[in-house]
Amino acid sequence: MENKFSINEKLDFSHVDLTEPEKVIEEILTQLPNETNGIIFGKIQPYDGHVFSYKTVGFAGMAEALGTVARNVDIQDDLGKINQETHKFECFLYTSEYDKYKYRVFFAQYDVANYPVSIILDESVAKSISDVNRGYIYICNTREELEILIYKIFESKRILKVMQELIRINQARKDAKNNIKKAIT
Amino acid sequence: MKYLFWNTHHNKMINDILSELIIENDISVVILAEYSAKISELVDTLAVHGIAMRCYDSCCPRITMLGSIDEVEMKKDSDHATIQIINGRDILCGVHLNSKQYDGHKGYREVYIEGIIHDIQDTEKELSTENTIIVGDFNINPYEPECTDARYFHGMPVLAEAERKKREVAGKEYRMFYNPMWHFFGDYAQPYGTYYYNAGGSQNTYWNIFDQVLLRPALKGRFVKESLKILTKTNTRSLLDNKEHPDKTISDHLPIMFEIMEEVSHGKQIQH
Repeated sequence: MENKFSINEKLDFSHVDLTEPEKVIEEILTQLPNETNGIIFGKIQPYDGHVFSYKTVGFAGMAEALGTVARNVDIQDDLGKINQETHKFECFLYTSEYDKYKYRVFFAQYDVANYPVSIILDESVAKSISDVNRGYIYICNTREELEILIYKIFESKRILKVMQELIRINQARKDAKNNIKKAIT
Repeated sequence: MKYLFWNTHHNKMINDILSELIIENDISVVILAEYSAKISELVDTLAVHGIAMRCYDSCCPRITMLGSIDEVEMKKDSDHATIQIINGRDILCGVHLNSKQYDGHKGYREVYIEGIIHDIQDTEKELSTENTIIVGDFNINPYEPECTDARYFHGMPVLAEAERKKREVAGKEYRMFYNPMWHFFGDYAQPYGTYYYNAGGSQNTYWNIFDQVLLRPALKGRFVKESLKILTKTNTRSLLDNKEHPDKTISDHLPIMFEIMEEVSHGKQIQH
């Protein structure tokens, strides 16, 4: 039979990297101790709270947050959907001398397809990575977009300031411990 | 132990008034929002008066904390809140939420509040305590949904109701706070709030109580009700202008103070 299809040329067969976003972020976080003389560490862990307003859900929610769509969502439906489909994570920084402490940098959320992934930033970080007020929610459609954003976040003025403060705190605690040791011996 | 909270309106000359408030009211822990003066100068001024305070570690850009209590450990920070552990058993959360006047994204505030509550509950679970205090500039009034809703601060105006401790909504359990700031509404006693703003529009109460303290009902026996005050003056000056509104040349917010008695293991409570 003659092949009358012309589908092949209309489809994109290039390889798409669908590595889970938290693994991509985790890989980047492993580089932090090397960059900070072993003082600062980053961690991404599951988060069971909401990372979007109850009045918003999924990408319509993001659009609303960015001021383009307004929609109310029934809370019970919303909770049901979130439990079934979404993965939520919290990314934070801590220091080796005091690992009980955490500084939250962002939340991440994605659905079953892994991408797009939403990165929900704190206000100061959002302002630090963008000159224009483009909101606090960034949507990354690919692994590459996610990597670019995560590097941008950790190299932002605000996060560098946090890291500097953590280095100071780390040193102060180390000194205090050493002084106690000296006093005992 | 007496606590003072004040949004100091980025006033770089605030230290003299602040030190007067700390000394006159015998404050042990100071929580500040919009603090732009030199903290080292404040610590030095207090030291001259025999008060040894230190600035507590934190990476939260919107809150500064200092005090005379030695055992204070930072636990978790985000943009809008810092959680500190006092004496290994009391949880102090200082907050400064977004202004609703300048930030139209109410949804963001809700996400941040839920994050704060989540962090508090994690800390309570880890320390097996509910001795939790939230204090700061909430930028919302005690009657607004984010303050009262079970999903957010869940702040009850009546302690007897807050003593229910928790409430179940749609199958999920939500723990309560007691919000004593409701006591200051209306015109039975001055001042009428902590922040005055003529917002225009259809919703305008002029006076607001943005600066608040919320407590878990577990602190009932240690909270000194009559100690909760909105401060309007020091011994040398008024914090109000000639219209009896907060004097913006000092700060557009009025400070609040309250006392939580120290917990002692052998049954008796003592005042700090």
